[in-house]
Amino acid sequence: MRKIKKNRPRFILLLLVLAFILAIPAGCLAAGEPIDQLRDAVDRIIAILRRDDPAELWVNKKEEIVAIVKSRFDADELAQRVLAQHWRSRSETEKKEFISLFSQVLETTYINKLKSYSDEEVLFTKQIVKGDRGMVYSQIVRNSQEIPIHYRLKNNKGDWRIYDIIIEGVSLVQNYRTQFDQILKQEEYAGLVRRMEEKIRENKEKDLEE
Amino acid sequence: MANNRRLARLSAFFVFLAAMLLSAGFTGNALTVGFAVPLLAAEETMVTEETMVADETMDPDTGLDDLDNHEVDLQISDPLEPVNRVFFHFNDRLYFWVLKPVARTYGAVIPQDFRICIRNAFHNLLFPVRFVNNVLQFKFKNAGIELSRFAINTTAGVAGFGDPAKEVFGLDIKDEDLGQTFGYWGVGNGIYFCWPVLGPSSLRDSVGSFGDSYLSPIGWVMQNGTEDGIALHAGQQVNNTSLVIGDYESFLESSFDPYISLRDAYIQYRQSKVKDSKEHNKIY
Repeated sequence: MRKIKKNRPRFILLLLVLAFILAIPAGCLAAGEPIDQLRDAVDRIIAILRRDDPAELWVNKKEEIVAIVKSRFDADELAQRVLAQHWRSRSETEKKEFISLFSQVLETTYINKLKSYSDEEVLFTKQIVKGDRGMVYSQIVRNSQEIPIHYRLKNNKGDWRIYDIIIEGVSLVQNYRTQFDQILKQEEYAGLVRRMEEKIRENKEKDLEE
Repeated sequence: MANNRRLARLSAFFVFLAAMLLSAGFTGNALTVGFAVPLLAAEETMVTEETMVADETMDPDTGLDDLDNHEVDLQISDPLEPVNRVFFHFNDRLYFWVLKPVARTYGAVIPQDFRICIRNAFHNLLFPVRFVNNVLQFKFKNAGIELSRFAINTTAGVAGFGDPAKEVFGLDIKDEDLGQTFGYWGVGNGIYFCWPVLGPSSLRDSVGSFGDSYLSPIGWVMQNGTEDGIALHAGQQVNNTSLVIGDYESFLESSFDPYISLRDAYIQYRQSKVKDSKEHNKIY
């Protein structure tokens, strides 16, 4: 009896520790490992895509997917890198406007592409972390061909967020940067904004048609 | 007779291209002197070389660049842009009016698995290109892997239709071509071309493709009978396109200026292939 009593504080301590660990949300446990966070997000998106309920509308699925994607992307960083040397010459309001517009461009362009998902396999192969920067290597297998996709991520208080995607060696950010640089040189910032708004409108119209 | 003359003219053109390439690649500033001046006076001349340096400041292991906004992107000078844009538009129409409808019909008739097999077979036929270029880059182990792949896939894979070398033996493709070999040797891209039918390329890669055609069975057929060669090439294009229908459309939707976007994508893609080549070499 006495022995058990002696051990009780330790037992309680153990319980406390356990309770503490269990109280931490699962997301935090994965903290520090970009590859796990990314895999988790992709798995959740694939699970949504695989849901086979004919009554469920794409719009609903899309909403859920957009929420996951948004929590994993670093929209500010992305926008800043796309504008590159033109970023500094923009006013604060313009910067905010650009971040919002560019996120919308990406969202309206790419989310609907997921509709054509047909059980392609996504493999996460490795990660490299250096300070607050990380690179996660993945592959998607389509028609028995592997397409390498690399993600560049930035650590945001334990939350790794994507700021560039490199598909078969082609950086998405650089590709937009090159195009925007040209547009900015020829049509100024106002022209770029107009083009982005146009793109978003076009994409939304296409979305409605389908 | 007419064919011969055409071939001769074509060869002469490529010799001219080769001369330009060599001067561009090996003598650095040669691009800005001599005959190349009018062609290459674009503002982005020599960017290739600058970016080579910029590239090395990036972390060699991870390719994680630092956060300042002074990154220098790899760019290619494009003095022929007006002409290239015309050909880009031509290729665009060719895709939508010819290639896509044909590939669609073909895809509807031939089952996908079989189309993948045909793609494999064409890939297998191009073994000499990969083998020789691995050797030219002193990657003897990779050349050996390619040789094994060819031996296994041609026999056990039934004339290359299957890919047991990968599925059973885990031997991955070691894709190399002459353009990559030149890049490996340190030759720069030169200027950008958007060829009719053949699509985006650089001066270096165009010369490379021409050289590779001597190692390609399709090229051999082409030399014996132009029509048969073109038919074979078209067949390959239709088959492979049928497996990626929708990709080009997605690409168009995602870009603001498809011409610029494709040019940048091409250059980035080729650069990454050349870089891969160099990194792999460290292992052997």
